[in-house]
Amino acid sequence: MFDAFGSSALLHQAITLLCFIIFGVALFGVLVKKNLFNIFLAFSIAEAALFLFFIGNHYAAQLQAPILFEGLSRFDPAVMVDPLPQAMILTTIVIGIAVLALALTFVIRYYKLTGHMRIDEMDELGEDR
Amino acid sequence: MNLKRTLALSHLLTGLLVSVMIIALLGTLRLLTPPIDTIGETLLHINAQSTQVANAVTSVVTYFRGLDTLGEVSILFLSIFGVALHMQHSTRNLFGAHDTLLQIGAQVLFPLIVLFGVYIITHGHLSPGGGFQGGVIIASAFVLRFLAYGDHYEPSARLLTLSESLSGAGLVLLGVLGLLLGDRIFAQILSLGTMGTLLSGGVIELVYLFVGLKVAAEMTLLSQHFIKARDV
Amino acid sequence: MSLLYFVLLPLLALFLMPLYRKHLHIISVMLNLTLLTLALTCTHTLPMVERVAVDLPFAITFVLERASWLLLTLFTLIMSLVSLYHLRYGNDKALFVASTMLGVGVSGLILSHDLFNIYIFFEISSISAYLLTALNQDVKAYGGAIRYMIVGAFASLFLLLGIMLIYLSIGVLDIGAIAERFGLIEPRLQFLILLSLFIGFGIKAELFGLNFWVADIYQASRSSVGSLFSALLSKSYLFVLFHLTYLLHVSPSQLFFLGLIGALTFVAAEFSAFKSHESKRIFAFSTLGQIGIITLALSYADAMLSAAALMLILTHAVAKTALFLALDLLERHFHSSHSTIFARFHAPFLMGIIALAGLSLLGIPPFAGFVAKLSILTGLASLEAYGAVALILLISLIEAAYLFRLLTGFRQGTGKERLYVAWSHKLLLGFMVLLLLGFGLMPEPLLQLCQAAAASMLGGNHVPL
Repeated sequence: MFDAFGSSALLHQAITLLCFIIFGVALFGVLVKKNLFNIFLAFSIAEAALFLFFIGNHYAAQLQAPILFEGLSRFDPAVMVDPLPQAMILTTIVIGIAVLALALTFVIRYYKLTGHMRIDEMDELGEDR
Repeated sequence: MNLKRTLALSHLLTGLLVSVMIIALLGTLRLLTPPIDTIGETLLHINAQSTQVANAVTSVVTYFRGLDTLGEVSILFLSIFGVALHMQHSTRNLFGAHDTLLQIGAQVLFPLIVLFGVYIITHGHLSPGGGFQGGVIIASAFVLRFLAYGDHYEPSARLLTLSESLSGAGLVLLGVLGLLLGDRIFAQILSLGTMGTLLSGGVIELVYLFVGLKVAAEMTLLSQHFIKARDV
Repeated sequence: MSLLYFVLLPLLALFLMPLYRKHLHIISVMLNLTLLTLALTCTHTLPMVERVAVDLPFAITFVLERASWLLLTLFTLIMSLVSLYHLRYGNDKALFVASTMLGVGVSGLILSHDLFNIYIFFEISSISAYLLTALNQDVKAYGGAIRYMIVGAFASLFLLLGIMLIYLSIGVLDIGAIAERFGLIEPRLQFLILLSLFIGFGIKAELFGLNFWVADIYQASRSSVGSLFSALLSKSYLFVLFHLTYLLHVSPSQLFFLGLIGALTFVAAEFSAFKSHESKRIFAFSTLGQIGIITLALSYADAMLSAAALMLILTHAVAKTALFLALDLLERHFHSSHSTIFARFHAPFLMGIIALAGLSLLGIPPFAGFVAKLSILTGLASLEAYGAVALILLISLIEAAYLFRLLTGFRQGTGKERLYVAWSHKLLLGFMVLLLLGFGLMPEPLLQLCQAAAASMLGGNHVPL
């Protein structure tokens, strides 16, 4: 499907561009949004953009998955993609889920205790509290 | 009105800031050139001799970087522990739909989904898949039950916690056994089979089995905590 | 002896939790004392290098050299002290899980030589820190934890970006190998990578500009947790930051920038502490101030100064632990940590502990803090950095002012309550102060250890493969 790009350099630049646009949108969301739920969601989007950027930059046209099946009988970096980034991203995705679940739990409890989840109304800490 | 205007202005400024940052970032990233050789390619080279596993990603996840996987499993454990501690529970299911058709469907599908998850786990070293993916698929079968049976369904919390802890302990023990019997964490203390067959991975399959069991229990617990959260 | 036991044993203790869920406080003490013993037995076999998984040049390695050994011993010691302190309060599952995991995270951070592995341990220690912050389950705790998670998410995002860019441009993750190949990267890209890593670790190491959140976190969590944060967490991130800085041979101007950041951290923190009236915030700002001095000293990449900085890390960790644990006793009694509680009780022993630990923090002889600060000052003077010497001396006056203000709180007030301190706590706190006093009177052995550690830390890519 990506073979239409011809050279992988062009493909990588397109992927980088798109991913960092998503990253920028997510960063904008983190900075502008006031709802805690939205903020953590924006962090997830930013993370996903980074994953795409990393995996996408390790793909080059005509490369196969690093798995032996019919037609492939030996591991050869010339025809297979690098397996390490995939393993890394697999790990990072799970970490992302774990952090998001914990964050949402805290937000839910905070909402139950205070009745709001706006970041600009969080005033329970500071001097004389 | 005034407030709205300042709000819009601050959004505009933030947007400008972020776009300038992203453009600068992209300008620098244009210089990115792929490396001559990567450590991953070296791992790919030695994979055939050292593991006999047809899926190179699996051997990286469970063997070459088994420590990362152990760390990640403990992060998941920590997070689920935190969710269980801080979420207040009720017996009411927030999403339960009492639909007979759905219940019958769930009854039929539940064993099939679990079977499919087990397949994905046990074939993780041969085809795409593995402990995490299979574990999440098994957990999705339990989520289906939550949706179908509403308040009447409650998996045994004791069983779930126990299987979670014990599979985690099994994973660590496997690592320690590797240290004691072999010379490193997750060392191959079992014999390897031939490449491409079901029993070819040795320790790798055991690692994925434990990871799969653990992830299945944890994801089920996680969704249970959110589905049965006390109403806000 | 494998270095992996520092990670595997706590994890095993955690996963087997259902077997002994009634005796977690005892298990915690036993575990931490075992790890302390293990760390001490490693003394004679340094440096230790251990390959994890495969025998490949750039696969994951665990390395224990003099500097990381010093920190590992300190961490296990502090963990043991804190778990001994909690022995009296019985079984606490949440505290057990989060603090044990924090131990795993910080040991992994200083032991691992693989950048992605470091990221994993970074996340482990962060998540346990979030859980520790939220331990009290009240509005403050959740507010603090949410703030912490937001800055933590920023930190891990940038750290991840840095790691990805490194792998994309040179294809290795081992930090020794990264140091070898770092010169091959385009200079602008190098700068971007260093910046991402600096933001990632700098947020967590509580450096200036990235540390606006710290006081809130300390205020939100229990005081005993504050001791873990201040002694373990920020120190381990700081160690990794400087380990990377030395290995990657950053330019003098970048080192100067780090030093400037350190000085700014110091000044800003001490002024904030002076203005504050909430004792946990004061101690948090004082921790920041010490981190500033340590950063300033380490940024010169000089053997003597780095040894002094390591010494300051050790003495500050012990003194701050004593202070936070004493404060925890007060907080448990009064359910408040406002500095006015100092005028409301009468307990000569506790007052003595707080005063003595405070004096060590300030750098008054004959305490160990004095030796550390003196060697930093003489080190700076020998490099002819008189501006930095003057700055530290001047700002230390502010530190003295707020610490004495806190201590004079003891003398005020009428109708004081008599506070009972258990003998086990007296023993524990007394031990820490004696430790400070002992190393203040006989600093030579500790100084030699620190000098050896600094030499191995500055030696860069020293690991024999």
